[in-house]
Amino acid sequence: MELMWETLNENMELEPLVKPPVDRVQLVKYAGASGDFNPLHTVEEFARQAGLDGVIAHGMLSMGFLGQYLRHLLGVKGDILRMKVRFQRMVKPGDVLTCRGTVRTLRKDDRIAELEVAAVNQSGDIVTAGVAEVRFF
Amino acid sequence: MPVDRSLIGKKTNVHVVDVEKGHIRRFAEAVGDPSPLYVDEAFAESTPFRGLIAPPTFATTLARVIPGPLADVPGFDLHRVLHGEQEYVFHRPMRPGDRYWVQQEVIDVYDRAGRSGRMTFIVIETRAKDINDLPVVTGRETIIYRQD
Repeated sequence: MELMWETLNENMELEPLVKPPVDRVQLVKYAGASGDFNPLHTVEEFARQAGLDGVIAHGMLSMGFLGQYLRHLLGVKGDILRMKVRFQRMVKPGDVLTCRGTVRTLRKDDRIAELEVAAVNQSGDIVTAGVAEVRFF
Repeated sequence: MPVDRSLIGKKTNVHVVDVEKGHIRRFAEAVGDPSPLYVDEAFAESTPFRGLIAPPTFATTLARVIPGPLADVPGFDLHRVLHGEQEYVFHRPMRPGDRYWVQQEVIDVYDRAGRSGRMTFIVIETRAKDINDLPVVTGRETIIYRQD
């Protein structure tokens, strides 16, 4: 559901967005579309040589989910000014990520909201988390 | 040149990047982001954006089309690299049809002791400017390099 500036409150939790399970084809598509061809994300053998038990998703894919979440929340009512995230945990094929958000501060004069956002896996672990600033038109 | 503080200040050349509609569409599809702002021209025209824009993390593509500042570091081992943090400051939306001038620079390198040994953090700034030299997006990525 799109947010309305007038109904936002500090500490308000935002409706989450559940993504379909990450799969290997998505990792190949994301590698192609992003230009990040690190074989850690697509080549099983390379990932095992790097000490993992298989390929892992691009951190940027999970940040992409959070970008989608922000756009989903804003619709066409506002713009994204800043995003900053930390990649805390690996994401593997089959993982189901849920994007969550909380309103931290509202700058009423310039209609800017600072949000805390996180992508959480099916075990409830935060994989990618950070802050975003969005401005409502 | 090893992975240490001597990398600070290392820059790439300034590269030209043309933002393409089909590339934006493929990127949004790969993420699974259905916003019509990225693909539906008639819809996007009718919004306050007055035309198509790119998803925010499309900015990652600006950093990938060029050999990065770490590309020619001798002994640099991709197996040892992790993406630690990423920040983007959006000065204005990225749009298909735009041409940007993109440059990357290593702005900081520092060591931290981790559970598995010495880790070096490399902070790279990516600056995209438009043809009028106005900033479009500034990215700051922190790469974690496992030294041990």
